[in-house]
Amino acid sequence: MNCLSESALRAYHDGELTRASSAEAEAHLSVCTRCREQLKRISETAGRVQRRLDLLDASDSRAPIDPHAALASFRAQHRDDEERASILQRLLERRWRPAWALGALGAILLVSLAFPVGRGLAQRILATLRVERVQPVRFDTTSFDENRPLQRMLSQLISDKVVIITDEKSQKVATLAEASRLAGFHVRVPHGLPDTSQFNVEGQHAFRTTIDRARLQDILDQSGRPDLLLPATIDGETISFQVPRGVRVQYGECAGHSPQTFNCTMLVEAPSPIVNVPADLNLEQLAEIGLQLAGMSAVQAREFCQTVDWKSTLVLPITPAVRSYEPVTVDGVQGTLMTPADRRGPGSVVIWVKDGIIYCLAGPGGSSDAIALADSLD
Amino acid sequence: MKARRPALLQNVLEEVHAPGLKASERIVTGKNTSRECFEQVFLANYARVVRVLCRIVGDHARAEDLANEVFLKLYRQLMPTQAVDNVPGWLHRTATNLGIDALRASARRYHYEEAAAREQIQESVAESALDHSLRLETQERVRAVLAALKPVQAQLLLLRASGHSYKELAEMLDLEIGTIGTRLIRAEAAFEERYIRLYGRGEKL
Repeated sequence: MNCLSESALRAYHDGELTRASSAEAEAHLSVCTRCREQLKRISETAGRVQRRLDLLDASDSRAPIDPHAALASFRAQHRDDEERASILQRLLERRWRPAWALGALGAILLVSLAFPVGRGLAQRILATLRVERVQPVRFDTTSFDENRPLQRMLSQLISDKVVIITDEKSQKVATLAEASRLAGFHVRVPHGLPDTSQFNVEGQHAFRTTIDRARLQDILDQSGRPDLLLPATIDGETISFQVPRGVRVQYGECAGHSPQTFNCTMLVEAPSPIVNVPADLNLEQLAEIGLQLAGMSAVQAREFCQTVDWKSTLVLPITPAVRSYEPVTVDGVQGTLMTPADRRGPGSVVIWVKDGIIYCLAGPGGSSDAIALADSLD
Repeated sequence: MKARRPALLQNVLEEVHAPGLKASERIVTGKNTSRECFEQVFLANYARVVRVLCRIVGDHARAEDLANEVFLKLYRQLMPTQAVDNVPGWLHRTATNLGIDALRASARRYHYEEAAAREQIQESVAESALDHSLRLETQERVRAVLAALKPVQAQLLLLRASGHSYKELAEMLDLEIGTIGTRLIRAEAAFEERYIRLYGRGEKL
């Protein structure tokens, strides 16, 4: 028998080999001085480190731990969360999983792949990305939906690496003027709808994430793209996101409706989120990779990228939730009109960007109703 | 085939599809989504999470604050529900992760390593107090070394020292089970190397 590997010796030491492998290892150790000596070294180091770590046990507090009191205080602290989930929470929800995770993967890839190896990290100046237009892209999430190890890795990565800095609650306000004042921009409303509108000022949010290169590389492997190698220098880099306050205006029955009586019209308007990333990104090249991950061929991705300015374009993922989409002229600019696949919800959704504000209007009617309503914003 | 909830692309769509659903009804606690389930998980695991954190950061109040953060992460763990199959394992892993982050942050703030290395024991103190302060000093040294390691190595060492099997470690840290032995050897070597570099070989254990 050949000598035992370091990892087999360690597993033997820890009692982690199967009974058969353990017997084999034992037989070999009885005749091999070299392996016995290596095992001794492994065992001594492990023992020394374990004894040092065991010292920490003594710091176990004698102070009483009262889980019930802790839970009561936790509840009091987070009562507001129960009343109303913030945008950020909703974004992190399960239903958003494929789009969000793909987006996160895309964003991280975008940033990470562009860094030239060996560049001084501290010298980089941040570049600011703002949305000026929306560009729909078909995203095939089927393979992602079924790749559970990948989902697990991504969710764990997000849970470990996304640090929430600001997570303001949304608040209901009574008037349009109040909504505009709190949001810090002029809120526009459509004409021809009943006055019984409801205004919600969505809180501002900020979060940042730090790149963990090793785990990202594992994720790429798991996505079936081990050919993409991440440079070592990206490790520990930070990307930050700021989402300013926005306003949600609702008309009709938006809560507790049944599919037969759906009559909710909702308009969300918000200034562009701001993303800060290191400045020297080759966004185009990275976007190509992101688009290939989302299901495009290399040629399609390249052609697509040549038409887009990535510093100012929000990629709107067209997932299987959207039955069809088309470019439309709305509110004097070009927007995207989508028809959702699920007939229980809104009949059409239109998204556009004007004067730095992103608008999204969803209503029960068809496409012409949605466009007419969008055109009526004052 | 089971109907899949379509992946939504807009907050608006989401809101009108799931009107009036409270956040508390969406809390993810393993395979259940109820608030009661979250509370049960909290009560059953809180003390253990505090103890895990106390070992790492060495301060009870700080450990309780961090335990709160751990449960808040679970509370807001609104990513794939299926991802949290093993809630106690997830809690332990997240707790060590936050604990190590906290250690590293204080190491940066207070130049932890140098402070611990410079610490002098007064000869005049009584015997028992001397033992106590020696022990505290050694604990601080261990923490300083953990803070200086790669986070994943520190985490592996701490989780293994709490008795987790290779299989559990592999699941908790998303590692290949076949690599655990080698990773432990590397982590221990890094720990020793760092310890000796900072404090010399004098200390007998």
